Amino acid sequence: MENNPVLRAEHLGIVFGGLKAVSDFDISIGENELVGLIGPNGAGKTTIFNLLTGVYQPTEGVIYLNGKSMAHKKPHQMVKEGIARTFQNIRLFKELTVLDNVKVAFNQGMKYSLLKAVFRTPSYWKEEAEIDRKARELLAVFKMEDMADSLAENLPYGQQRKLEIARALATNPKILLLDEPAAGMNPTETAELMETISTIRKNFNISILLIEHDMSLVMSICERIIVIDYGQIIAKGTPQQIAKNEKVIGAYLGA
Amino acid sequence: MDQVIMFLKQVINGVQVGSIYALVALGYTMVYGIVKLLNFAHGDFIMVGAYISLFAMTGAGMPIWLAAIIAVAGCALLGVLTEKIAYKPLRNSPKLSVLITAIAVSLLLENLFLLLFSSSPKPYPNAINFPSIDVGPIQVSGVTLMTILLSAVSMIALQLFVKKTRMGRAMRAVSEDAQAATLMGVSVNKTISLTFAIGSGLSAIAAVMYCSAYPMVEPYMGSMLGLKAFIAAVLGGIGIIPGAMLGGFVIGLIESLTKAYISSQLADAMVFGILIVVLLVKPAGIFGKNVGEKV
Repeated sequence: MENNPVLRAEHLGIVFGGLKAVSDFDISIGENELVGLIGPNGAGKTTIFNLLTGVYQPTEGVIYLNGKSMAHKKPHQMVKEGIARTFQNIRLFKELTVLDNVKVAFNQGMKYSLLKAVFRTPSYWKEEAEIDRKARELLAVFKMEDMADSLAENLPYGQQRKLEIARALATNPKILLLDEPAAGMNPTETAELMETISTIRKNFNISILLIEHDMSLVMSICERIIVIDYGQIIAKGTPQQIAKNEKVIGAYLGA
Repeated sequence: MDQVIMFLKQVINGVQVGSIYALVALGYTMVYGIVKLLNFAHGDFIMVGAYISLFAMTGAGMPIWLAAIIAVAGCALLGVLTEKIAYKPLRNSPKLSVLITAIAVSLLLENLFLLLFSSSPKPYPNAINFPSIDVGPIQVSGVTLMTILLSAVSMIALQLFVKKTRMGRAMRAVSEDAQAATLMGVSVNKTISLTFAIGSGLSAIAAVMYCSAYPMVEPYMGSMLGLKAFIAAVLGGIGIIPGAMLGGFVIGLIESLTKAYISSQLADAMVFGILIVVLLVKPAGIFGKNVGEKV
């Protein structure tokens, strides 16, 4: 599986004004793998997500998606190569409808030109109908088809988290980065989320990299875990190995 | 009865000039919505559009509809270039720097056209030979009819474009959260260029309509028109498309009724007075939500 990684990065690092926020970060995620990224607050987890999605340009190292170098690529170009993400603090397009949030993410796969949009040619109608169908299908996977026309900001918190995942999936990714998907959820919602994650992994055949603080979630669904502290990897391994790792226990308990 | 007819005539005048303000205000508001920039050069795009259409008609002998299309294309290009050259390098700079740059672009355009074509106003051909129609005792001129019709069509087309096309969705997404939009595969640069192109193109339509009603073209013609459209955009709630349309009509009506019933000298003062009242009473505008600054 490791032979043909969907996402690979070597010696990835970034410096902010003399401060090494992340250094020497290696990662390789194969097809359909589910990997957890954990670490204490401020360890650099979200910074790594920002590097992997092109929000920050790394000062060191290169990222490869399906073997293709992503050096100097902009985020929207990297999305085309098959990486998508959600955000730690929900960043939906609040004043757009649920359906339009998903459709925006389908945009990059659409082709009709400006003139066709203005004059509403048959190809415009065809593509719009197609996207409408796909977007509703995707919402149905998340059991959200009834809410398609409400504004994203009016959804309950748990649904907003789900919509973010649906929106990310609409970009047709090969790897999905989830930034604390269970943050602020109660145990019932978290359990539901875990189910959602395993469903999408099966249905969409994608790899997932997950940042999470809810240890029960991480330990139960991740196949491999990477632990970072102060921007560096301190441990890698299966959940069982990580649970016993002394460095990890030290980082979390401050010993 | 005469009173009523006179009032209705003023209302029609107000709607005519208001629909021109609305077209210009749309450009202000769309650009503000997406890059949070008050493009003070926007008024001068009207002036450029007026000159382009003037020369297309008098110099190249084109019919007015073709001249209008050329003016729209020219202004759209001007808008895109202005953004690329003047505003894009400053995208991460303080807002004030960009605002000052916009004023500089405005001065540059005005003085460039002053240098090229002198300050003497050029007459605009009367090319809209639309027959006037009588609505009961009121005669509505062809130009008035055409202006109201064309702006209505432009506004409906714009609404459909923004609500129902992939580019429109991208525009709304970028205006809410540009970074999240780019992470969903939307090209922010392309979307911003498109917004400038559409906004500036609308100002060219406004230019042709305005010059057909007031047939003079001169380098400073855009500044007052631009300011009033800006007030219209603020009144409706800057960044909100239906707000700009409503604001335009309200400003047009107030101006025309002030001219008729109070004093024509006070019309401008009245319009600027509205800006002050809006800023005091509801700074977010009619359709705007009052958002408290986060602490």
